[in-house]
Amino acid sequence: MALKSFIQVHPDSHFPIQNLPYGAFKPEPAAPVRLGVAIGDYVLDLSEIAKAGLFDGPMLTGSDCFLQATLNKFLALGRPAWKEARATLQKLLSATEPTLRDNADLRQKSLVPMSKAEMVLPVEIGDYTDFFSSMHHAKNCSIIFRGPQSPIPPNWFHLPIAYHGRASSIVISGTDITRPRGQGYPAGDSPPYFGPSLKLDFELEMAAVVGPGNELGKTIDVNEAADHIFGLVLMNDWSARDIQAWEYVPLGPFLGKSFGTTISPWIVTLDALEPFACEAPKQDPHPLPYLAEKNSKNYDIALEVQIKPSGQKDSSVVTRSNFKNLYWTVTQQLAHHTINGCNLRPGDLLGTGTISGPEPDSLGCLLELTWNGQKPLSLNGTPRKFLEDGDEVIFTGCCKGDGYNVGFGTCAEISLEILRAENAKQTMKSFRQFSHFGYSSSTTVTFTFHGDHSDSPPPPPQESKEIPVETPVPITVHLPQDIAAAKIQSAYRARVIRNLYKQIAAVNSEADRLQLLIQRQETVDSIRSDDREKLRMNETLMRLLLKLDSVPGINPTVREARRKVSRRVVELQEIVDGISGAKLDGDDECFGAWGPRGIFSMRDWDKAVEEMEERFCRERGGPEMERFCAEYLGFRCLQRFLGE
Amino acid sequence: MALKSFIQVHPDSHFPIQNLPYGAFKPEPAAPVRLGVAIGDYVLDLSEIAKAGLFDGPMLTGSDCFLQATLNKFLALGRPAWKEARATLQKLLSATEPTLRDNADLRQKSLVPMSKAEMVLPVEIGDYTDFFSSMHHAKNCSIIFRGPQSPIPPNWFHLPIAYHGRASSIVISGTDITRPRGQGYPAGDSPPYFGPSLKLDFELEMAAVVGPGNELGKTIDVNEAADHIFGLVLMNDWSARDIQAWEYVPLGPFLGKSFGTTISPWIVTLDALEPFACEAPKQDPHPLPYLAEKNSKNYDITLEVQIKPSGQKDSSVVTRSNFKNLYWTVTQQLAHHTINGCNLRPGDLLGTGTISGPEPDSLGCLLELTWNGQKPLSLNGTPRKFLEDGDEVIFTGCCKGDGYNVGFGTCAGKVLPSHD
Repeated sequence: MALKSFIQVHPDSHFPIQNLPYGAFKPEPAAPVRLGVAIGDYVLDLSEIAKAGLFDGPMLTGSDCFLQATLNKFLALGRPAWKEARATLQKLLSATEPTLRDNADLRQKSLVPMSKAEMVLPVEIGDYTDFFSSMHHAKNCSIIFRGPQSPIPPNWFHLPIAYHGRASSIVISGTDITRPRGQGYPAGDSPPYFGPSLKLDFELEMAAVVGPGNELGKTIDVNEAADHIFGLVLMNDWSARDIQAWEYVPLGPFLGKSFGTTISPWIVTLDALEPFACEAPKQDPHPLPYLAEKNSKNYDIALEVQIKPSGQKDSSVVTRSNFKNLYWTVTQQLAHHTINGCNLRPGDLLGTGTISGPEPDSLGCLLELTWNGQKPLSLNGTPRKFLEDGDEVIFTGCCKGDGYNVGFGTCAEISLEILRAENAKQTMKSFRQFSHFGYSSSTTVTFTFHGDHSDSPPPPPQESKEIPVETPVPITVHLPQDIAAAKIQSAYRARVIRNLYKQIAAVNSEADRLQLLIQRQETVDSIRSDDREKLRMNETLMRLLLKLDSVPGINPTVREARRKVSRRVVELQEIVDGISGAKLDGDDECFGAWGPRGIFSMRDWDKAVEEMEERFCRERGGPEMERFCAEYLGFRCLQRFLGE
Repeated sequence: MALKSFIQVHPDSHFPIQNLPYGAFKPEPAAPVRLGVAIGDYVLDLSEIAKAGLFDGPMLTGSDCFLQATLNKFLALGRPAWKEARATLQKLLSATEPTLRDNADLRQKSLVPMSKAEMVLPVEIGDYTDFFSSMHHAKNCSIIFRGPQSPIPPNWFHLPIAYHGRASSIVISGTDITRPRGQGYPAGDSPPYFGPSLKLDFELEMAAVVGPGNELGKTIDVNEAADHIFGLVLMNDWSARDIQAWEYVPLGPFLGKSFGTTISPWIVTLDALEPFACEAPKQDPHPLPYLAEKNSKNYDITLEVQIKPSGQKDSSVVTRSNFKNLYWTVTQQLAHHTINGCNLRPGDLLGTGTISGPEPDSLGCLLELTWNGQKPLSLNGTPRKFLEDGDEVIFTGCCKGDGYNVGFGTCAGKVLPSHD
């Protein structure tokens, strides 16, 4: 039977008893900093637990490591102490253990509502190192910064490349970042650009928090490296691409990065992540012996980046990636770091580097997503090349367990209270963005919709389900098992449909990019003057059609969307053919295709989808549509009907 | 008449009353760390002076900044406190002032013979940044690492290029350095070399110790930057050239540097260096406004590197350079560092980069001196391409005043063989 806490934990929560991540917080603004672990919507104050003498194992009895303002002293104690603390806390918080459960006074003292806790940096970071461990990111950066002829540098496959970052400017999630000023590449013979960065970017990273570490001159064996990693956090390595591009030769990134790095407040331990360990990618060439691991592990952590522009109500998901996309493991990174004798200290931070995946919507920064600003993203209709003032960038990371999550919370300029609502909404976002189906969050049924990235089967029926109704605040209701099962099954179907929609949506957004590209004069010229360019474009479009073909049409909505996008791609092919066939003096004709008559402009496409949706709704009728939406999409299609 | 201390100071000493550099020391191996200033052959224990209530100016009365194990708290107080401390100490140590001179008990408690004091790192270094500010070094490195056709990169003349270094492996002069192991360039199609570095080098540098610093998101004006620099130390940025050459594309030096960086124990204040200020080189192109100084200063500090091979009785001078060879000033470095809003904290270290001069015997590292090992040096007859196990590398730095020196002492370290 699964471990369960006496504290009610919503099934969507990132912080069940299986997680217990460590952080530092102030229970009140003027209070001194305490150490704590997250449990559901609460923070357990470890200083109170320590003072009550409840850390009674051999490693921690009498230790003052939880009476500090940072975790450094606890980190220095190493894995045996970490395991002991975890066992003690899991026991103390479990539903069957009366010590804390039945002690109202201690509960009152030690359990602080998360909404009241102000999180601060959990460790004093002596040194911060940033690696470069995603092959996809390395490849894309090589092309963008050094041209299409640049392969990944040859050293990349032999060692986990890294540089030293700035420790002083690491801030906790929620801290505002001021747009940096600096120099950018000069245009021609003029002096360099100077002013606010024009290419401010995020980088989706995670970071390992170092435990005991090593003495100067000593090394840490790669097979023992895991004992020196306490846990992981989400990290946003904010980057000013224009500053970086101008300054980074020959000594690497400096002011393009040092203006701020945001980490999430909760350190999720490797012990909590262990159930989500997966095989690391095969490395070819085989690494040198000091980097060869007996057991090479990654972790299956779904990562997501959202941007919420100033003034917009909703954030848009711009990236879905996964920690397992890393080529070099964190243990290899740590062992490599010490191979020259460099000393690591408790609390040091090892960033993974930007975690890009292979798919176009799994790229970990705007530099890659917009291809250095050439292909803007659409954030609910607002184009975005790089970050604008007022943009909020929100990272989330979560492992899906069997009926529970092990999550990282967020790494953002957004408070945790808002997070839950954001999460609930985000689960539907990809579908909504594509289909423009309206929804109302007031009746959101969110209970299993967290599994967007998960291939795991739906959670088994349980005796009770928590269903947020009207508000995102979880309320426990008890359902008969068969009804619960039906709800779970319908949710699972909806998840499958959403995943298929996501695939179609990805093709559609790729078509958006290609359309923008085709609209550019340079592209028209190059397609006209170079048959290879035309061939390349046609091949790209053909690949999109093949991708669409591979989406199974298991449901009329999916089929309709697939047909619509296929048609669109075919029409783009025709345009490309038209461009290459047109005479030089036929410029006007050619661009006429994009004019008001053309059905392929962005506005017309949106309109076409909207018409399709309206037809769909009308065909199905009000109550039928509502039932359909509730069953397959997990929300009621109220908005459209209210609008009519 | 020149300022004179009641303590006998040899004319060749680096530490007359005009200097008074700050450090941290243990009077005995088991004793807690104290803060002190060097005076002749003695260290003045500042905790004793503070406890005696002799820091009686408005900035320092009642402050516990000299009862700490590092100077960080004192550094955070800023220039007015530094000036007050200097005035107090110069008065206290002067030949004409009886307070300490005639108090045998306090003299006994507060003056520790330098030979007995074990020096430790004087500051807790939060972040360490290394610049690349000598044009001669930049040019030579460009040619050696990237070929004879490589000019200095175009950005070099527009901004003081830098990278973040490793703070944890900064050690005090006298600490042995273990030869690092690592990967080097593969020969042809074979896997990369792995083993002890075959091209271990020193780099002759100095470093600025940051004072109050700035908040994240704020900047420091280049004309106020000097108020955020407490003083300078000598620094040896040990480098493994083979590791560096293989790893540094595209993110810069990492393991080729992070195995150790040695600094001298005494921080010589900018106030003590002021008599040795000189004009900085003319900069062409003219720097952008945020780097343009009303009054651009270098300091005339002569620098020397000696190598003492294991078993040899004498060391050989291999380089004579000067701090004034720097193209970018330390104040420009500091202002540039904050222009993006990056916060500097008290105790941060800003390395100048290797200080090479124009002459062949003023090059600041073996990479340049031996032209990447192609032209071995002779150390009293022993050829030397790169550092060998047992070599001791000794830096000295000194300003020559009228009848006195303002010196940095030495910054020394010995190379130990790699493990296994």
